[in-house]
Amino acid sequence: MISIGNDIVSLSSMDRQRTLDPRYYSKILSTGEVRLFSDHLAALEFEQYVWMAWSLKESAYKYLKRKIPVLEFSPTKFVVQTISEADVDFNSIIGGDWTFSDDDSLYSGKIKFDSNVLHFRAIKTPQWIASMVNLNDDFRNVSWAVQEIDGDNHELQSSGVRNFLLSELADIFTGDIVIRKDKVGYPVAFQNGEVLDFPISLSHHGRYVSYAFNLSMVGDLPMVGVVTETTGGTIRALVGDLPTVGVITEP
Amino acid sequence: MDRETILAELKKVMAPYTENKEKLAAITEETDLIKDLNINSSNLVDIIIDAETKYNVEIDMESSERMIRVGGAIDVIQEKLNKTA
Repeated sequence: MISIGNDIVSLSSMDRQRTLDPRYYSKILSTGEVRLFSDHLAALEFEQYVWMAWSLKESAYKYLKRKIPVLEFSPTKFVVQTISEADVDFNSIIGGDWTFSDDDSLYSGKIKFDSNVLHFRAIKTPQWIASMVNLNDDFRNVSWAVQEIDGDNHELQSSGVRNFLLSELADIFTGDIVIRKDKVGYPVAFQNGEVLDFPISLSHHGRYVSYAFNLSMVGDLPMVGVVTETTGGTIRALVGDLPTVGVITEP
Repeated sequence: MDRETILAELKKVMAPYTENKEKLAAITEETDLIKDLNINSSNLVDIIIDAETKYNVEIDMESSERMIRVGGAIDVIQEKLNKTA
């Protein structure tokens, strides 16, 4: 089953002092995950690591919730197994209106829940941490993007993330595209009233919105973006520089 | 401590984390913190820590998944209070 899970954390919305309190972060991290935070994550402050781990757990939860509809989110049951910094050109791996700087960094690794092992990508900037998980360390046909919006109230976040996604889907699909929620609560795209059968994940926090979707089920997307090698895999840019690639009508 | 009292106190605990004050005032045991009150899930740890401080109990993260609904949160707090009593 192909799924997708993503998440974004706005760092300015979190209480730094509180995050650094062992009583607080021990509710998010296992002792093993605290140990994982070591010298090779030099570009990451501990506070950022805590929220990256949180974000990865949320992404993994969202991925698996499609498979296991009764699943409830319990952060300590999702365990980050490996994490390493990847050396890539950011502007080629993620879309949206964001210019990456030297303060930003990209990570890849694995996260586990029970017997399920998922692969992830995560980005840290001074403002936010975003993550995305996939079944394999292969992110072909996955689009992932982050955008800053004009405010942080729920209505703006909710409409902002949908409009952001729709603006990208309009470059891939023709016709009338709308996003609705299915009965479990997942976003689903419809084309002229018909379900487009590919998984979408949305997230918003503070002034940031992010989406990810996986088009493997509806066919290969033409490789139009820049493909960037990262540690053990590739992420491709779809967003921002994606030309119209025609209609994908038959799921 | 009865459930109504805990529910009333939980409103105060959750207040800093939701912008939807009308829905907060009208919560029931069925209310879902994330879906109904639009509380960001990253604030769940804050709510758990605040509840721990308020009731002087320890809430393990195994219980956290039950804290998503108001009724579940009341269950957890009552159980912890009974343990320490």
